[in-house]
Order: sequence, then structure tokens, then C-alpha cells
Amino acid sequence: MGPVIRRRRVKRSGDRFVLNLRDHEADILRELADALDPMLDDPSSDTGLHRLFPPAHPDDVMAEAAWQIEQGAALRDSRRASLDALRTSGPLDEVGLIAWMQGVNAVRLVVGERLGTSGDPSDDERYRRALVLAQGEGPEAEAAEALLHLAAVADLLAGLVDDAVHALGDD
Amino acid sequence: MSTAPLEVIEPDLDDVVVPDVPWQVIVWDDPVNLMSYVAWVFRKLFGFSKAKARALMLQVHHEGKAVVSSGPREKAELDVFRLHEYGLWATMEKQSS
Repeated sequence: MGPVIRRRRVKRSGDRFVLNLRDHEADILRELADALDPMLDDPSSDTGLHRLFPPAHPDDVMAEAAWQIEQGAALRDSRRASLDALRTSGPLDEVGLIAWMQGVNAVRLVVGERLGTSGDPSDDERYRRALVLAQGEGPEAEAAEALLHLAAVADLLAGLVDDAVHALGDD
Repeated sequence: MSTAPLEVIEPDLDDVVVPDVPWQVIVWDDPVNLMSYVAWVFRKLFGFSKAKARALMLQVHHEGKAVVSSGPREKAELDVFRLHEYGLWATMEKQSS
């Protein structure tokens, strides 16, 4: 099999970066940003969000409490700014692209948590099983379709992060 | 010249200075972040060469974690915060002697 050629959706143009997103891709980013933004005010409300606010002192309850008090609001503001960047259509300067990339990666992390991504072969096995179940009918087929849809979104987001890294000139 | 006795100030035990033990920043493996992205973040935040950034990324990937920086507590806190901004899981701890 020959090499897979994929359209790069982030390209450098001089000192700016152009986003070549299809309409549905841009819509997905905006919808994810809109869904995630209000949840940032209470990360404990959704287990998928804990990955956006990881502990700095996992073995020290007091130090971690101090960390959350001192840094929690600043990290939330930073997250919000990066989600806001997802609503833009470009072109972007380097700072803007980095914020956009951080936003894409943030929603990737949440989607990954929702999928229960483990990084081992069992992930592929789940998707193969879902492909089969989705051919059927009923609640099991609907759940399988929802899983496959979320996996497709995760795939899109991974490609966008990879494209941004490539455009920034470091892969 | 005064002949008044000099006042000798004894050091207060509370003022004893202890050496500041450096802190180290650890990045942990996770199943979502792309390897290309992690290596890029290391280069961006710490100025590592491509080779060093890749080596540290692979250490995180294969061994589960890697120390990416060390220094005073304030520096470690800033490094952890910036790594969290990029979505990497980083923690900080006192360097063991």
C-alpha cells in the first residue's frame, strides 16, 4: 500500500498561518468550544474535565489545595482564551495559532476521556465491535454509532493538532 | 569614642537559614497527547534541541515519565503551569538528594 496523503488544514503563509477547514470541521470546533466553555467554571461537574485541570501535587493534599487556589483561576482563564481561539477562521499569527492549537488539544483531551482512550490495542477492538453493532438496530446500534461519531471527532482533532505542529515547523 | 558596652545580638533559631532543595518537574505519559505535540511543547517551553525533546518525549512514552526541568520552587511552579496550559500532565516534587 502506498503512502496516505492527507490534506494539511493548517498552512504557513509568510509570517501568518491559514486555516483550511471545511465548513463542518469549523462547525465542530465551534460547537465543542461552546459546549466546553461553561463547564470550565466547575471542572468537578464532569469527569471528562479533570484532564484539563490535573494535579500538580498528587501526593500532597495541602500543597495541591494551595495550588488549586493559586493557579486554578489562571488556568481556567487560559483555557477559556484557547477555546475562544477555536471560534476564529484565521489567518493567525504564531501566538494566535498556538492558542488555537491549545484549544484543539484541550477539547481532544476531553473527548479522549469521554471515549475512555487507553492507548492500547483494546481501543481498536472497541471500534471494530462498534462498526459491527452500528449495522444493526436498537439502543445497542445507536450507542455504537455515537461511539463511532465521537471517535471520528477525536480523529479530526488529532489531525488538526498534528497539522498545527507541522505548520509551526517542528515535526 | 563611646565606652558603652556593645550589644551582642544572638541569632534567633527561627532565623536559621536552610539550603533551598531544588524542585523537579515531571511529565507523565497519557494516552491522548500526540508524540509530535509533546516534543514540540518541550522545545517551545524549554528550548531543547530537536534530539533532546524527542528523547525526553520517548522517555515519557516508554517509561511513563521524565524529568523535564529542575530549580527553585517558583520556577517549577511556572513550568508546571505552562505544561498544564498545553494539556500535558506535569507534577512537581522536591529533588531527592
